[in-house]
Amino acid sequence: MEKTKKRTGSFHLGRAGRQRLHFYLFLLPAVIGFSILTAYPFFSSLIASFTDRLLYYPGDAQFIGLKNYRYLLEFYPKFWPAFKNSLIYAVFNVILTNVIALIAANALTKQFRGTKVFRTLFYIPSILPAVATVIMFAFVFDPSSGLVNSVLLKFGIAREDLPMWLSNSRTALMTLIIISLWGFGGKMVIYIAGLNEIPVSYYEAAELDGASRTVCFFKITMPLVTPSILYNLITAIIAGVQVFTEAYVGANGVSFYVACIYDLAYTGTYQMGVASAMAWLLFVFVAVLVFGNMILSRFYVHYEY
Amino acid sequence: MTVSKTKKTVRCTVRYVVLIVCSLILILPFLSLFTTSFKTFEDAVGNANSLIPKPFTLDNYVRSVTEQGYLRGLWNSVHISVLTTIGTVFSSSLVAYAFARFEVREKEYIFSFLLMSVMIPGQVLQISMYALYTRLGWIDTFFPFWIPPFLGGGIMNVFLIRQFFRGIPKTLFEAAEIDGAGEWRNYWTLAMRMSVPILITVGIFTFTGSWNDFMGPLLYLSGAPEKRPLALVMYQMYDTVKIGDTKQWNIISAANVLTMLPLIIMYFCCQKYFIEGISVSGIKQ
Repeated sequence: MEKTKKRTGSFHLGRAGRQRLHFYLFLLPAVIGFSILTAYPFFSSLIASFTDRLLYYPGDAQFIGLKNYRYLLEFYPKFWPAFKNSLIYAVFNVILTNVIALIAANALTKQFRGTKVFRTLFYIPSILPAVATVIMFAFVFDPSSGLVNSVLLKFGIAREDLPMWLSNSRTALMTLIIISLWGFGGKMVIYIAGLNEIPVSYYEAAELDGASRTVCFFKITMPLVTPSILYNLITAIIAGVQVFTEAYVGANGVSFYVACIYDLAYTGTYQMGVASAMAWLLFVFVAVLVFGNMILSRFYVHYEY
Repeated sequence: MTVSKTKKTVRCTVRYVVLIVCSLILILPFLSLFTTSFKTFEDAVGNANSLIPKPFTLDNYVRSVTEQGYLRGLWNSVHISVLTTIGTVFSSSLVAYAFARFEVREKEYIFSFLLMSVMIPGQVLQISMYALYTRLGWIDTFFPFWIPPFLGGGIMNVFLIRQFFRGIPKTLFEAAEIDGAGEWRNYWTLAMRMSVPILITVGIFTFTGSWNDFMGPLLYLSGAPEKRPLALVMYQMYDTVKIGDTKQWNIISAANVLTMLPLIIMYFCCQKYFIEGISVSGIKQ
């Protein structure tokens, strides 16, 4: 049936040809957008990463091979600390927010009085602008006039023992991780959606067999929400290592990966070449994570649909 | 029977207590922010543990609106976000229509190819885009925010809308074709009209994303004070509004409340689409 149609339409612009024409016409915005906004900068930055290009002097760029990469990995003093900090931030953020989100989702999946209120309360922080959130917490954690320290003071902690939170490079990273937990609600909603997919009959059957709630959680809930967990993990890790706003606004003396790229590319001598190389190293890292997760997920993700 | 009943009430009470304590911890920072915004400078800096402003003043709001460029920033945020949203919804639905409606052999390959680009960190692309915008003279103009959304609109949005378009019965399109509708009319009056919920969802997420964007404005609009959107105005205030070395937390807090407010209002207006959207975008993986 399909074949005969195609054959009769093969001369002129038959059905198949018209389909193709229309397909590409509707696709046009994406074709243009992909070429200009993705493909061009993708290759342009790859090329730049092998040159000593400065942002405002594209003509003077010389090909220098892998020197930028070597410089970053061996000599640039901020590279490894920045990578380490971003990674610590990402890992703790991923683990803690996902655990909290899963517990909260588990508590809020069943309908009872107030579910909606709690869901709303937990969710709203995750849609607020990062700048506003960090500035709010900069006040809450302000060493001398913030809420946290003034409460600690009330509890009898000596003024000189009070933590400096964001103002000290040793505690700033930890404080940023604590701040990031405030936005667990976005993940919670995804988990709630995942949990709602699980048929109630599973739990009823388990209950008949005498399974406790804890057993139910680990034997039914956990395996069945692994698709949501996988999605959350991937997106959270990728977003976590790329954290910028929080780091730029809140971190005091702690270097973060993307903030480093920003410093290299857009301040000082505008070293576009080095900055591109640093961005590309991040890309390689993200790609390894994503593919690693894809391979691993075959073993731990339970797909039912 | 009675044992299980008491067990149930205990469990229920414990759950409520835990949830309420958690909510309090979540709300406390916001409460501190909110009350500080009504405090005087001395009160804000000196009595952080008191959540009652003494004396109560609206001066901070007046000052952040009149002196700190809040209204200008609000207007900039609004038109940037609105245009971004229109462009994204329009162009991603066009592309989604292409993928949902036409039978072309290479379709799936193209789609997977585009989908792969999600993995590329923004920084890889941003540096070269900055160089390109510099050459075009677009730095410190709104063009880097206005134009790109119209070009494809992001493959994840395309993905979501495509799923929805696919659910529309084919017979509807065929009936419209018999009535003489071309593809454009099919797209505009049929597919789009039937997909309003997902379009609103995509629109909302685009809008919040654009509203909350900080790095974009920091890069492209830092040199033009009158063009800064709210996120950047907020940061500038945080950076500069101080007496001596002490930040004027009362004014900063008032401005911060005003920065968060539009999104909170929007959430309550479009609550349904927020939650549904996340469910859709979360499950599909």
